[in-house]
Amino acid sequence: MKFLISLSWKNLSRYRKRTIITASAIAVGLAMYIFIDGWLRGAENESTQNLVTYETAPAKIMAAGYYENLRRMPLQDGIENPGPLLAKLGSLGVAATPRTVFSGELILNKDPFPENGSVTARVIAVDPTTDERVYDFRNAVSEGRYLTPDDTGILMGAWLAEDLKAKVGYPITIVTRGRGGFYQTIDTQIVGLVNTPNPAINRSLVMMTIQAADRYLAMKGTVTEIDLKLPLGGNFDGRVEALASQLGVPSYHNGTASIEVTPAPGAIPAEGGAQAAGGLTMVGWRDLAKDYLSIAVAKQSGSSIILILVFIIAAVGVSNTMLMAIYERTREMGMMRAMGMQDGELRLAFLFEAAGIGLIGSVIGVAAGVLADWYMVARGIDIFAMLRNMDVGYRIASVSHSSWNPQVIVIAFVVGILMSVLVAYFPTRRALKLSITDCLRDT
Amino acid sequence: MKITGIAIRNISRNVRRSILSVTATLVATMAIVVLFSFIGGIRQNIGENVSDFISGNVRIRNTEYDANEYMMPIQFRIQDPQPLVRKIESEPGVTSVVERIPFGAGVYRENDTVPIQGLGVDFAAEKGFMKIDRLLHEGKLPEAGKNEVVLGPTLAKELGVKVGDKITLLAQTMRRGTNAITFTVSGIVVFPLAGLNGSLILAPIDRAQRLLGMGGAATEILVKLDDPAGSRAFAKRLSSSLSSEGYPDLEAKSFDQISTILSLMTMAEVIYGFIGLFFFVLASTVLINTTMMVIYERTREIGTIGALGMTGGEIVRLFFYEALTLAVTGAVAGMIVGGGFSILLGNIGIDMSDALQGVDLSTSNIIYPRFQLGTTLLIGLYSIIISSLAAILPARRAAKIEPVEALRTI
Amino acid sequence: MTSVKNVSKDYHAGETVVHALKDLTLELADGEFAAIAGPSGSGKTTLLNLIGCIDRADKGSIEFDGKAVSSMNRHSLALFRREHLGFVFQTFNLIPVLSAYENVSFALSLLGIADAEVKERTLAILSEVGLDGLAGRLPSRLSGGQQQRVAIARALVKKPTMVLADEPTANLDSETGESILRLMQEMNRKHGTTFLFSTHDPMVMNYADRLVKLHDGAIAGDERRK
Repeated sequence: MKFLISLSWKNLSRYRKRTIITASAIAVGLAMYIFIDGWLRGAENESTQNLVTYETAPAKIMAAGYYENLRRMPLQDGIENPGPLLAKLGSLGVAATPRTVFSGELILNKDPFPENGSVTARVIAVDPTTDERVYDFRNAVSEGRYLTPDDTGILMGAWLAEDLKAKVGYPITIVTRGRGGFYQTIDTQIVGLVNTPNPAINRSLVMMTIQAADRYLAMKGTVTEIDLKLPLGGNFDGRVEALASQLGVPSYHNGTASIEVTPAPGAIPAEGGAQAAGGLTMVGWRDLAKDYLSIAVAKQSGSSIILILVFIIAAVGVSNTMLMAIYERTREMGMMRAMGMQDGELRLAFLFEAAGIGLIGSVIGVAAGVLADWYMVARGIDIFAMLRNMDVGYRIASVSHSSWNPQVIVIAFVVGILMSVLVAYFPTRRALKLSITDCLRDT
Repeated sequence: MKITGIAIRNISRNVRRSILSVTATLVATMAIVVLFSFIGGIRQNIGENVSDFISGNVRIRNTEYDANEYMMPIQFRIQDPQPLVRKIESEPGVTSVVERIPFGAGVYRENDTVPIQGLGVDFAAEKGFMKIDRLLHEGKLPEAGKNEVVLGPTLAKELGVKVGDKITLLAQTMRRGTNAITFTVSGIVVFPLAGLNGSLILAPIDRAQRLLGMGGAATEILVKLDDPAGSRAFAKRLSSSLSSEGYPDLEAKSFDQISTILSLMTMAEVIYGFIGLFFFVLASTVLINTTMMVIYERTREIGTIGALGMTGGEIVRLFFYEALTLAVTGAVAGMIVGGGFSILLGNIGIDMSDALQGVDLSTSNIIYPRFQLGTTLLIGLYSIIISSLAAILPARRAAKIEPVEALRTI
Repeated sequence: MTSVKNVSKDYHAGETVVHALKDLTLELADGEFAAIAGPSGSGKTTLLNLIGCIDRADKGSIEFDGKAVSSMNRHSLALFRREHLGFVFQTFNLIPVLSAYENVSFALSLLGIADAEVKERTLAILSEVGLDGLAGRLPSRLSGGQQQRVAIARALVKKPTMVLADEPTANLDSETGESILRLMQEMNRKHGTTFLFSTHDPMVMNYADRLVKLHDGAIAGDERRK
């Protein structure tokens, strides 16, 4: 066996150039695979992080009626008495914060704005003291200040402010309709700008205190959602379902399906608890980020196609090389068989050779891929210019990083070797079918 | 027997190997051809959609409007658009001209106001511009002067309205007041852009002017040209003539200047060009190996023809032509297969609706890859050049073989 | 006339140095039908290769009618061979993808001769070597003797100054070998082309008009027969 391996190795070094060229083709394919996977994964991880930290939270509790008409943000379908629910969450050790989201029109007046105009906005009303249990806006303030508990001002996303040419201190009037349908005018001013790693938020955020919203919209304590902080990863869905069960929330939308949740015995159903006609529902972040998820899937399938093609070409290369190797050593093979080497041993020798090419390719490819990954993980690439004006679905505001994925690296390494061996198997088998005298005949 | 003839004969010596070498180039070429057809399809699609619904090939607006586009400052208007429309229509190369007013509005309901995007259009003229009559799915188009609107099916469903129902549109007027008009839904139109189906309401332009208190003004004039490729030049000419013709505060822009997506498409094409280069280099490694092997195999033959007086340069050319023939065969086959595939997909279309859910890229849900002969031929050429350049390396080594070494009979 | 003057050639095989030719001097007149003979290792193939301009001497010079080929570069040597020298090999060395006709005409097309003349001369020489009717066959469909005839035709079609033949009968049976030798002798008489063989086959030596014996890289004998 050792003899066979050293024989194969000697043969590989005999045709150094050819071995290197073929191995390079494999290496390039593998390096690309590792790099692309690392980048996509990194973009996905960052997007998930940024979605959950600034946009969707890991999960939210809403009234079922509100969820069904989510786009319209119907205030009459809110969570009417959130207190006990929040308390229960507190006792379970789950960080939670209430929010009210409503749509309004921002009226901008010439002076200090450059011109008169108006913009439709989705206004998010938060409790400044508890919001940071789930989100991280306090640390994202780039200008001005964060909201205080009795603030009458608003925060604005930095990119939105830039588009509107707004600055801290500018007055804005928000025209909206309160709970019940009455018209309401909210005179307020920008007290701070927020710059987060999430471009969707930067482009659209208008944030005020939930206390102010409660007054203006006559919510009487009703909120439109309770946002929860839960660890992602592992059996996330299971955890959320379990929580829903403990809270007596009868359904969970996890992004792919709506699951019926059986309430745990003793869960708060009705007694003084939060209710809305129609009951509550739990909504996972995936359900709220469908646009991003579909793009991510599409990107993955696109890159899979490219990688498959790369592998086809590399496989053709290996096949070609092995064919050549076998062809030119036909006489040698005949001689070895004449001298008593068994077919099986000869086949093993050639397969080792193929594996050797694959090994070299794998080593180089993995090394290159890891190097590229390392650069992208450490420094990343700044694609702000592309992202500023276009929504590509990914929640990345400027620098895009890659993520390490040891699993893929190992798979790539193994595939490089396996593919070479597989591809060499058939020509080897064919060559061994020749009679010994045929091999020895001078061509 | 010319060198090229010998080269072709030699390829048929070992058919299996030749096929393998050709396959690598074929796969690479085919892949890139399909890729570029796909991008071509997307590009054309975006171009059409942007031209039809957003900007035409050339768009004229008040300079101040564009500067504050975000908040739809309708006070920056085109005061008296009709003469200008007529004038542009008479220019050579112009297919169609329309005036429009995009505006922000809300659908007033009992408990809430649903924000929507409004567009005041001249329905008669739009038959020739955005082909509005072809988009009509149910009911009929609004008549001029009547309080009628059409909207997309998604929005209709969300508002819970059918043809014949009434909706009230609430909007900020030009002078910052508020106004409302109750319209009857006269029909449902289906736009090729999913985003518009859920947010756009079309009203007759005179009704929009009334709602917004704009008098006879419009916000923009859109122009469609016979040859969209000349949009930039047309816009430039138009811009300069506007100031001299009594419209000093107006400017014209071409659609590729307006849409960021299109410039990103150009960037994408450059990136894919690099991917193509990479693919072809990969494929040429196969060709390099084959050529090396072929030279080794025919060492004695090389010695013979060297003894017969063939110079080193001629020997290199012989092997180069062999590799070139393989490269050309692979590229041509790849072009044919890739082209065929592209045309097939171009007829069937690729359904991207899953990927496009909720993302606004100005693309329709179904993309028809666009096979372009020019681009395909260029890709083929690219492939051949890279493969043959790669083949020169081993071919040159053939010239270094000394006849005396090659002829040694052991 | 061809003159070889004080030619030496060494081979390096790993650490050992083999002195293939030692200070060898020889003159060949035009039209000679000569053989260089000797046991293996005597240097006869080396000498043939040097005169055939496919190898270069370490020391000394080789001249064809006063023209020194030893100082020519690779490119010029190739052109010289193209015009003036023909080769016949032990292993025939025909180009397998070309027919008999094409193998012969190939030598002429290297010289840039017009197609009509190429055709005329090729068919003529094929006829002379006795291959009428076999012009279209590929080497794989020709016997050893026939292949060697094609090789001879290929060497002669360009009307060379000299034809060099390295063991031309080694891969043929004795009867075929003799007919090949007779053919070459006939060509020599008819066209006046110089023929130089390298051989250790006594039958070949018998046919030669002049026999140069080599031993350990030096001339051990030089006899004229006829």
